[in-house]
Amino acid sequence: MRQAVHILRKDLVRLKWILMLLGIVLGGGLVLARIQAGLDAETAAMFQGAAKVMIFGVVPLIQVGLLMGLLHDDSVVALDVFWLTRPISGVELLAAKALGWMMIGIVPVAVSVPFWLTHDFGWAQIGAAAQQALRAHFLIAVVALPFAMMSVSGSKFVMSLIVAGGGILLFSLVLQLGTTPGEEGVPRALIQTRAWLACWIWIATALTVAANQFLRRRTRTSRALLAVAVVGVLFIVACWPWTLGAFRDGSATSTSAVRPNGVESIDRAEIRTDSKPSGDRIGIPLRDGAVVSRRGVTLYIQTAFLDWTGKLDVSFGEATPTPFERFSELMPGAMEPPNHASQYFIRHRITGAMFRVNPTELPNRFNAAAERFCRLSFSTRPAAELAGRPAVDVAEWMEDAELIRFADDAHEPEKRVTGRRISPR
Amino acid sequence: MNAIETHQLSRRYGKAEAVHGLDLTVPAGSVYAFIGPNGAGKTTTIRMLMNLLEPTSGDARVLGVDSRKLSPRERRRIGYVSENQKLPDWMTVDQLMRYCEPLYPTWDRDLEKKLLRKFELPPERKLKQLSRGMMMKAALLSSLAYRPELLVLDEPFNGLDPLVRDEFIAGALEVSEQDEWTIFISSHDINEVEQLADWVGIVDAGRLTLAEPIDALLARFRTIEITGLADDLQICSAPETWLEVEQAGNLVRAIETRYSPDDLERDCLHRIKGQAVVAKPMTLRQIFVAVARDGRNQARKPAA
Repeated sequence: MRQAVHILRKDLVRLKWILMLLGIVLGGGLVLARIQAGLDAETAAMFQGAAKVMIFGVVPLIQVGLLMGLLHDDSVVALDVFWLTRPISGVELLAAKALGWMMIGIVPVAVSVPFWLTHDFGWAQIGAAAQQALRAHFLIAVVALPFAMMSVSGSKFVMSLIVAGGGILLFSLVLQLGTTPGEEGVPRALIQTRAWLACWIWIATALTVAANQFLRRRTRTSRALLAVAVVGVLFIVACWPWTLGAFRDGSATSTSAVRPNGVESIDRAEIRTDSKPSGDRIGIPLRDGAVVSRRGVTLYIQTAFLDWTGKLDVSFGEATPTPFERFSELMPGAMEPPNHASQYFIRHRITGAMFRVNPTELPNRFNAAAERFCRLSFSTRPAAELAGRPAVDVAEWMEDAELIRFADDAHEPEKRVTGRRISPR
Repeated sequence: MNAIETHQLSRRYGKAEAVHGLDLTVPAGSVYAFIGPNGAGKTTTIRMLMNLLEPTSGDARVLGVDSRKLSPRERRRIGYVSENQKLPDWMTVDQLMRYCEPLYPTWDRDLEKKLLRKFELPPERKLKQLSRGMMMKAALLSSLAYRPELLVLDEPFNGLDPLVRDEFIAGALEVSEQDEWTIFISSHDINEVEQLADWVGIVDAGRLTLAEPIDALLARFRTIEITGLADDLQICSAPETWLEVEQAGNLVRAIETRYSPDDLERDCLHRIKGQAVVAKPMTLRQIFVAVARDGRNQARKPAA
């Protein structure tokens, strides 16, 4: 292990400038995201766009570059590399690279922590948000790992990524060509099954190839494995016929609450639906996904239904008691012991927001990816109104979300809700 | 004990056979020159010895261990410098040394400093900013400073100017002589290795055509010239030990591969009605060329 740390140190020295670039780009994106929250809608859109490009476009690219740099310095494919003739075992090298990738994953988290803190994230929320950032980091690694590992130079790596990306695009186009217009599409549960299987095949292949290359350096076997995996994935995406049980009967994850800079669900178990929410009522407990402050409740939504304009129901769930002092600090004047709902509010107090919802863009399939992160804002009741109420139900149309704007005046909650009003249970 | 032993070592690339049934023995403590023309299979052989490539068949033992099972423990006893090896060129010379040092328990800082001075390497200079010769010296330094028992040099002199080459050789020899290391050095240029090797193995077209101590080799090879009257000079039957027999006017020239001062004159004059026999010592280069040429002629014969 000492040797792995020694190699890790070498890698970090080598990649320090790219790591700094990663921090700067991500930090810049977060600053832009922070600035846009206080701007009018038009100006904010510009900042928001720039922030999105930096956070969701440039940062992953840098992460891919870092992965490449990490692996290419001690290539497991080439014969002329330095480490091969030195007393370094494949296990140690693999450990070093895994450690390196983990260390690199810490950078986005470290850069985001101040942002989270200034937005009143609690420790649990910071933990969840960090987990999401690391998950995204892992995802990038899994996708790019086989390409980075099996290439010996940056140009070959980029070329293989382009070829793979182009191939997938071409394949999906071919699949679409085979569909008759007006024909009912593949059931969502089946699509999810296919995606799930394809993902796991790829993950398993990536890990197997990594182990094979680092421990045994059987490049031909690895290439054969990759080829089989690609064919397998394409086959599954095109013609896998069976739906897995986990994706039937509305048990699949389709809508979830996310953190401002997160990319995935925080509390997936709480928010599940398999039906398109249009016209249906989905209960979303305001747990980790909800952000409540004196100024209002902010709910970050990530939807898997890209053209979703349906109805959203939000309800507060159970909450863990929090210290009374926090309650007093948050809601001055409410001196009575905290009740169920207000405790919850305190626990999840977060102010500020990253993204404004623009529901008119949501139905657009091609913009949807960029518009995944929507913000729905709901006014809270003054503390006095909340007292004695066990929970609050909030119902709102997403189309109305644009109208639901924050107002700084916490004492006029009704005015802030220009869509449907909050209706206490 | 032998530092390197191979038994019927072979390696194919598709249909092409790069190394064919190589039986090589490198005695411990020797400086072994592994020479052959470009494409003879030298680098492939070394890559198999270093477990960078797996043999198609046969086996090799390096420091008594199967080359396919070389572990970090054995690698700590082996130094390897190759013209093909990529150094982490983003490092400075000093960073390279500091990176290597913890990998080798036997790393000798004093030796490192001494060699650094001897090779005139700038410690703070990045490797990518070094000339090719300096880069090779840095690679050699990183392989000498831990006093390996076996030093494998794969075409280390390619593209080096004579001055750097001499420094390189002197550095390697000076250190290795103290500890009686084994040096296995491959090259296609005999002049480069003649001055430092005590053993030589000549490989051609993937086959080992000759392997013995250089002294013995130089002693048994001679260019012989038999002079006489042109009409009398008839090559009745050239002995099997003769190579490249040719006649030009009143001179017959051949290469004797089993030279014996006592028997030569009698043997020559018995076979060829000459008047005088002169045996001239050959350089390693001349021997190499003769053996290589003969090997190719032999290879062509069955096809013909």
